[in-house]
Amino acid sequence: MKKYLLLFVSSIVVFLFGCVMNTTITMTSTVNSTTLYTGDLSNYEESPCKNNPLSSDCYIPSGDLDFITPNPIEYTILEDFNNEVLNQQPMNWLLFSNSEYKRNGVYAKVIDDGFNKYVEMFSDGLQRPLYPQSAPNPTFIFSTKFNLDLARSGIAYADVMIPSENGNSVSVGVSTGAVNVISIIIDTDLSLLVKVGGPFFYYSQNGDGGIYHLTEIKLERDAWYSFRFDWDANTDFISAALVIEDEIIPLYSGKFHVSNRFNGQQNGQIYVPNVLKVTMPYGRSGIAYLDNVIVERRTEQS
Amino acid sequence: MTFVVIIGLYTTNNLQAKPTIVYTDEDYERLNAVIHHVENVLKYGHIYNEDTKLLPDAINTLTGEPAMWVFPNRAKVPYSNLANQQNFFRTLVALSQVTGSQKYKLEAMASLGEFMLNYQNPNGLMYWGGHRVINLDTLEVQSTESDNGPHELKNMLPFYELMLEVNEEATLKFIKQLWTAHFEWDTADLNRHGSYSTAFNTNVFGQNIIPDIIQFDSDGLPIIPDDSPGKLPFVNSATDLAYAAFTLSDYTGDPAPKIWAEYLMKQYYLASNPNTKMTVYQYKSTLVTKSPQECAIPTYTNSGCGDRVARQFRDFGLIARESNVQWKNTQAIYVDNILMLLEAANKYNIDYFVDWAKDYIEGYLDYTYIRINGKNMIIPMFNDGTVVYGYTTPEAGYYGPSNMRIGYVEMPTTYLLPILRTILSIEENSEKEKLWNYFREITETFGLGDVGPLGGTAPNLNLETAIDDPFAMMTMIELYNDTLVLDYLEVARTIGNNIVKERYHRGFFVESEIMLYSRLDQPETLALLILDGVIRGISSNDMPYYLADSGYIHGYLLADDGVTEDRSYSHRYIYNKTIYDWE
Repeated sequence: MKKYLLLFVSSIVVFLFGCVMNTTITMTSTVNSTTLYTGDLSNYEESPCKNNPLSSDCYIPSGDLDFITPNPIEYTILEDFNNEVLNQQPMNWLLFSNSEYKRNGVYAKVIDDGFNKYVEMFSDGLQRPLYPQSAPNPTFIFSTKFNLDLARSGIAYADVMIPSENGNSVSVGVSTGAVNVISIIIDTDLSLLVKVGGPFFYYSQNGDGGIYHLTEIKLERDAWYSFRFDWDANTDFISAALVIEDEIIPLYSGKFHVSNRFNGQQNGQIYVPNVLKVTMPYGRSGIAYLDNVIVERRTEQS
Repeated sequence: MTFVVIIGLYTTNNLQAKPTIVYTDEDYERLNAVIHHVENVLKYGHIYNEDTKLLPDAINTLTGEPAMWVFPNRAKVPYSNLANQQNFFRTLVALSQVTGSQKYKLEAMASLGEFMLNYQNPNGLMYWGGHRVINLDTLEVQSTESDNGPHELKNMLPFYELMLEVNEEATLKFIKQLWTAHFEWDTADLNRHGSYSTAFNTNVFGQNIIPDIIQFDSDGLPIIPDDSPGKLPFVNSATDLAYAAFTLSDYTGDPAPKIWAEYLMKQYYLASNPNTKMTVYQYKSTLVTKSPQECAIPTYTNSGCGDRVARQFRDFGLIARESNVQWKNTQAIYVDNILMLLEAANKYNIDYFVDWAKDYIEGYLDYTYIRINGKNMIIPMFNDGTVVYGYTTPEAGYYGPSNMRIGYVEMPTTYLLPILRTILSIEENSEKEKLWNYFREITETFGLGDVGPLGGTAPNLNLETAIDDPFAMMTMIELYNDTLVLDYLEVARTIGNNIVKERYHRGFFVESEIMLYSRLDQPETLALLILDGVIRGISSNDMPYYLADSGYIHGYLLADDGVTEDRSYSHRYIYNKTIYDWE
């Protein structure tokens, strides 16, 4: 019996040796399968890290990431469009459109009346951004950016004119991202309104289209008007004014927790304006003009 | 020096001889990359806010900071959404298994433990899913929709085994409330959105089963009811409900949840086209509740205006329904749902789920599969076989802009697993033949080589394949498990090496070298650990199981122009950022 057992064990050893020496192995199972490997097996060796994968010989922790976050850079706007190319959209400005907008359904191009260069803005009023749905989204959204995040206060100016021929309703003001902070609206009848806040429509879930303050001022067509917007996130102060020559005519001033009314953080950081935005409404076609867009630091003297 | 194959080791579920594999340095290099990734995720994930064990959903691989959701007002919220971290928890448990160190599993348990203790609504729902996150600055619950964003799971398939181990009471309450908040017992309306205000129902699953929702017309075709008031029974939500109910029955021994889960899955089966066998994304359409004035605007795609495909594809007549679309959301139908059905069939002996899976995937491949220019492609169509290829949409709608030409859709590698697992679940060889032939062609087209005739025991594989895809690797591992043909394992190793080479950068797994964020839910690390376990001789049945990679956040955010508001998904706005998009 022992002899047979020895013979059987010897056979197994010989068989295994044969397997080791061959680079192509065919495994026969006692049941029913073949195991095939057609690659080169000559360099296979058991890794010493197999059973000690976390030992210091095998795993050396990564060093710290060395990327240095750049310091934010503040920048303002001083835009009279005199250095812009005629019939082109001014540099550093964005004009919103999507695939549903018609070619030239909206445009903003620099024109020259012989004395001055400024921007002609047109909107066909036919399309608008998809979101937020059910909100009064404008068709025409023309914007440029600035950064006063460190100062957290500033002053913006913009000149607007509504022509007598094919004039449109227009709004201009400052926003924080997509959220209006304060803007003026010149309606089709040339009445002047101030809008504070809105839309940030869905997140607020209260149909927040902003709060409108009607002024008693009626503007005239074919006349340039200069508007001034002030904000100071340190004191939650905002204001809008009409500037005629050196006279500042207040339109609205008050407290507003800038851009934080429906913030992700109830008592957290306040995000200050960084966009100067001009819009023309959905459903109305026409033209307006824009010039002298300035964003500057707000000082005690200002 | 040697590569020894020893005969005579048997697994309990496979009578074939199981070879012992040499664990090489190259094998360890893959594991080493996974360890680095996990250690870095834990290190940077915890550094940001040391007051919590919660981790961010993704990490900026340049700075180590959490990914941020940017609201329309510029508010940046670092977010933790545990529904989107399930593959990371599976990775941690698997890493403990292969390294023998419990610290990784304990990390998973600590994170889940804190979450379940502090972020479960009294009604049972967790604050997670498509519209709710934890703000890692404040550790408060944050909605990305309205102020009161709903509960939504779509193929998240939580790691319930671990959750039950961590907090049994919270897990069981959640599973029960998942159904109460999303399912209406008397109408079978299923809402992907569940309310955090719905009271906990102590009699959940206690109702009698109702008649099937789907009835048939005189031609034997299913009638899809359009009476659901804004509640769309998307299959991706139903997959989560069914998976939860099966888990509950298995854990408690109560058969009622399992019966309801089978009922729910049956509605999709009944709604399938009986001729083509292609199935549906939903078994109901919505009731029109909005005014004609609101719905006159094509871009207003609220479901209260009725079936969104019927609106945008009205040229196709009655077949044009959201339920019948076979070119969009098909991952939810033919990958995630089928994987869940097969898992349930295997675990809970529901044999007819295998038949359904076979019907679905075979019908889908019969009609839609085509190889074009060396690529696996899908012919866009409705589930009766009506082809949509070449159609140009006349106006904008839920499925895209106007003037959009519908073309072929590339088939992703994720389809490999449901096809293979279906084949492996079928008992009769004669029933496998057709599906195997599709599988053979698809794998070869993906560049994996020829798996050979049915059974896969005589393959001619591409041992030096360039593919770097975890799903292809899982497929090779499962073929190896089934056949014990070592070539499959070698291809899996090659793919694993490719994954490390192409996707492991700056100490993290990323989609490619230039991508900025490393997502915790990415499937690569779990797949690599399953491979590592198999090489070590650990049965993949004993390791965390790959089911889905579907985590997302949906809501309102600041568009990339920095000026307009959009409503979109984390993977379209955050995880598509490259290292060049960030400063």
